[in-house]
Amino acid sequence: MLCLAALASASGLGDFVKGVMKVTSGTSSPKRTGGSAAVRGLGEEEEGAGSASDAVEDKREFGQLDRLDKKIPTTEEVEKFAKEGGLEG
Amino acid sequence: MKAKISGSILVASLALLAGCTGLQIDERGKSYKFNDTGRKLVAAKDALSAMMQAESTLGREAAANVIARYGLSDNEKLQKYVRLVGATVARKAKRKDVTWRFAVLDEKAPNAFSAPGGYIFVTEGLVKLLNDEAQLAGVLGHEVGHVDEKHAMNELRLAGTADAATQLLGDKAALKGAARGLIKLMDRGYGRGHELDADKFGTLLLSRVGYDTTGLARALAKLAEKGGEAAKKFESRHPPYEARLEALGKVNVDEKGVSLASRFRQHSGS
Repeated sequence: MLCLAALASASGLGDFVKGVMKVTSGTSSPKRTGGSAAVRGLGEEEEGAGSASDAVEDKREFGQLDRLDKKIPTTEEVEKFAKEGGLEG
Repeated sequence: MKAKISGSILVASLALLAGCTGLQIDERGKSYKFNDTGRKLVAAKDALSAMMQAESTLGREAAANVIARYGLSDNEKLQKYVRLVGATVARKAKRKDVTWRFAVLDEKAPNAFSAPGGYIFVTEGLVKLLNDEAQLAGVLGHEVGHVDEKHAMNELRLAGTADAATQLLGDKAALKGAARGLIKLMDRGYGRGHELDADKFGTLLLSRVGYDTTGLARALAKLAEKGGEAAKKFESRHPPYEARLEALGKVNVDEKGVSLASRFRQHSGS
């Protein structure tokens, strides 16, 4: 257990160790959008089915998001930018 | 005698190593299988992986929603600049398991958003309101703080709960519901405590990178002064500006640093 704790701490598994100590309550019956209370979050507390808010929240634009992934600056670019500004890169 | 002691140490070391690595090795050392510790470690690794995947998947859903609602600015010079300022700040964040993405939204109202998984957005309207790079870095640092501290995942009760994460990944309806919850949360702010924490985090990042540490405070003051109706609406969902500025005044940081006003003007067109 000591080994587990040490390794968990060293490898960033601390959240999991805490997590298993306070496992969420079991699944509840699916609601309009389905899912358990634990993962439903704040998503369906007010509006009825098909509301204008739902339409806004259901919009997605994954194509532009994919393009963002391809534009992440390289380490060298960030270091150069920081250095030019007199910052720590 | 020496050989006997060395042998004992070797056996003890192997036993300790086997216990720690979670492996049960046979007497001849030719085969092994997981012992209880090993099985727990494998389960922990799987759980961690599920939680990280849930954070990334949920964040991507919310980020795709933000882009669909506002659209990205077509000012590529500004986009590149914000990406570089953001990446410079994020390199000093605590979490190293996040792929940070920064983008400018095509929106006049001043605002900024963050989604789990490292998606940070700032509106054109907010950039136009600012005067220097330290202010922009402060705003981006505040949003980085929300992700670094897992504020959204905590609010959604998903941080540290492997069962919920696993369920989320395996249930499209649950993912949709949680994404809706996250989107609402992003719109209304992560709560007074988390917002103040993110302010402090952002200012500490400014200090670590070498920016003028008053950057975020000056950006907030500017927002309060010139942000108009959007800023008032923003304030209704966040702690009052006065409270945030007062809290930032108590953050103990080195005040030396650069504001880079001319570089900001050159790239932002402000």
